[in-house]
Amino acid sequence: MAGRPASPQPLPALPRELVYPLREHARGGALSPAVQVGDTVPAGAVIAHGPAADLHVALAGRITTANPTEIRVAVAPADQPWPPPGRGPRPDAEILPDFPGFLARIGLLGMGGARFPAAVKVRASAGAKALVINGCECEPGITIDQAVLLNESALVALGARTTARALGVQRILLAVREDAGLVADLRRLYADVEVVPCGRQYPAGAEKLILRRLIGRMPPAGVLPFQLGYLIQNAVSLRTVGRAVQDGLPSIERPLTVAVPARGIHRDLIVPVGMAIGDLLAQLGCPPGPGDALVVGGLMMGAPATPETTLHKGTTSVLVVPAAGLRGRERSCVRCGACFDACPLGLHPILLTEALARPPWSAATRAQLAECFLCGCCDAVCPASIPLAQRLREGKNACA
Amino acid sequence: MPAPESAVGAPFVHTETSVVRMNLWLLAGLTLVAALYAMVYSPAFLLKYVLVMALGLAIEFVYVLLAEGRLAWRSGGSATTAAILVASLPPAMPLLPLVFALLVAVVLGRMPTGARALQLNPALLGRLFLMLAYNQEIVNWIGAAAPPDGVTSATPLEVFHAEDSPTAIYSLGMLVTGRIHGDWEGLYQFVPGSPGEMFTPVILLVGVALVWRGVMDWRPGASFLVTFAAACAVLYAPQAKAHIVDAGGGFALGPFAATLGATVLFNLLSGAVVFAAVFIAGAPKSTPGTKAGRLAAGGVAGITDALIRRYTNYSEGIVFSFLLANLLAPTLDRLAYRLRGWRLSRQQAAWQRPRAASA
Repeated sequence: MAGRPASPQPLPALPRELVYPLREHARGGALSPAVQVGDTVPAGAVIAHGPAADLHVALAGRITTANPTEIRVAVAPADQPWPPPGRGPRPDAEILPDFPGFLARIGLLGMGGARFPAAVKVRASAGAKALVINGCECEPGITIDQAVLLNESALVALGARTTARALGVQRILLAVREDAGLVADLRRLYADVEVVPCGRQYPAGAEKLILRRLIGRMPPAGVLPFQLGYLIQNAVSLRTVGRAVQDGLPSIERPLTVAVPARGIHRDLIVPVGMAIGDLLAQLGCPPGPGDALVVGGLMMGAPATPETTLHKGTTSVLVVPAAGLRGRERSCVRCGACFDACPLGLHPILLTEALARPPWSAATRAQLAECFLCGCCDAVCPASIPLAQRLREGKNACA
Repeated sequence: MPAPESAVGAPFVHTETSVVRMNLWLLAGLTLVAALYAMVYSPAFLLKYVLVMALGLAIEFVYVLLAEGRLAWRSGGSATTAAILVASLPPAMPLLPLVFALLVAVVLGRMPTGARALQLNPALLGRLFLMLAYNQEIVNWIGAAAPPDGVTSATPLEVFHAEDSPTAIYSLGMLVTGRIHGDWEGLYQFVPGSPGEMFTPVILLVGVALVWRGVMDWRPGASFLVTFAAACAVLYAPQAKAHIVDAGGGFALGPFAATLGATVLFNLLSGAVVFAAVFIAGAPKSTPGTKAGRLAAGGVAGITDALIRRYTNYSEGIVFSFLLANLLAPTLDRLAYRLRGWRLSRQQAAWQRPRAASA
């Protein structure tokens, strides 16, 4: 994509229904519905409570389904504003005394894709010496972090400053892709923030690799950023904090990239959490065709989707790609070593997947599996088309 | 639209790396060396080279048809195996043994895959077959370029081995340029070695290009060359010292270093050392996958080759040393895997303890 990403735009029209599969939104504990069928809810109202993050409805409407697995909302009226206006600026007294509680109340989950509850992360990071804004977007074809950083810098900076104040952190860093022009623009926009270029290539935005850049060596296995004195928060997450502080709006907006490369479509949008992908693509005039495949969350770490899949707080992108040729025919490993060279953590992917196929797993296998963050680099370079990432994902799921 | 294939998960993008591409690059590099040999010594060799590659492809085609029921090649890699095989044999090798060796290389070495397959370099497997079944033909260097005297023709390496002397009985320039000619004290007529062994600077440049293109890893080849040179330096040091003492009546560091250095350099440039470093050391399937394993395998082959050259009746030991490294490859990988896992688990435990305590 040429040039800098434009400001994320709101939707052209509103969806008729929002769907919230509670399992998708439950991170850090199960959600329990706070509404009943027939209730009328305003935009931003809590519809489910969770131990680490509440769930809010993005648009006003009437509850049509409310059970432990799913909440559905019929959006009404159809001409309500998007994004909604919010409750107005929040006072410090509501934010600072119990900042993790504030984050849980606004329902913030990590918006870089992982959806880890921000309240839990921030609570564990008490005593951190630096807050790192992770703007090091590296998945191919996604530009939403950059678009937010460049065009909504006031909100990101407000979210970062509020987080830093709440934690007593003096130093704020901004980790970004190594690009001289981008770095210069960001230094101009974020005067009181230290901009740190963190590499050009995927997966430069992984926390572990950002830490490597910050401490000058590969961080030890098993270490979490807060143990080294860093709290790393995604740029869009901090924008959401800024939005909650400035406008009193909980986590109901999802800035994301929508791209259909075959048709030259690439848009950065702000959409309501809970909207179906099919509705979104129909609004943009690019409904998926019979030969298309839908991918949410990026080509390297994302997941296949259907038009019925709904957007959650961690959906960074919706991509429409040709279904044919997504994966070649799997062949036997030729021991070329490409996966070993590609792993950014120096793990042994093919040996690991072979060990996973032969339980019980040794301590070495468990240790390597625990380190893997499923970046997919090994899989992407495998000349024998072995689905390494899929097998590692299954191994991690079985281990969890 | 169709539901997404459940088997298709991330990543949804792949690089252009493919086995076919890797084979084509290797083949291109090898063909350059073979073409140089043909230009300098024997244009007819190119015909044999192409014919043997075609035979390799034909054997692969039939194998895939019989074993998998498909009318296709698997990756065309048998052409590369055939090219390495024919380039590493004396040019006078008759065609029939070559076909047998090719069958062994492709059917037993190249094509079977999976856990039960032989993880041995297929070309070396074919060469081993020839060493056992056609032991006269495998050392028959006559008729390549020099007049066929049948008794005293030898490659520079064979002369070096027979003389057991570190002194310069050859010209390094001759080795570097690949133009092997002349004689030694009227006894030995120098003849070139295998077509793939000539023109070592070109082979090295091909190796650099293959590493740069990402076709192969530098570790096994570099480790092989470095350990081979180091082992040669150690093994030939007493001989070089004795030579200096005999010649000058006393030991002097300068002449000793010069003699030893020339011996090591000769060993590096003669025989199939550089050829093996580029075309054999990093061959997929038979080489460890782990980085540490690749370094170790190159080291095993380097030290073994130096030992074979110094202490056995063989003037060259590439086949045995690399087959030994191939046999050790799974073990080296397992060791590297366990070592990495052990280090990771120690670190993980060290960082999880304080978290558990504070929770």
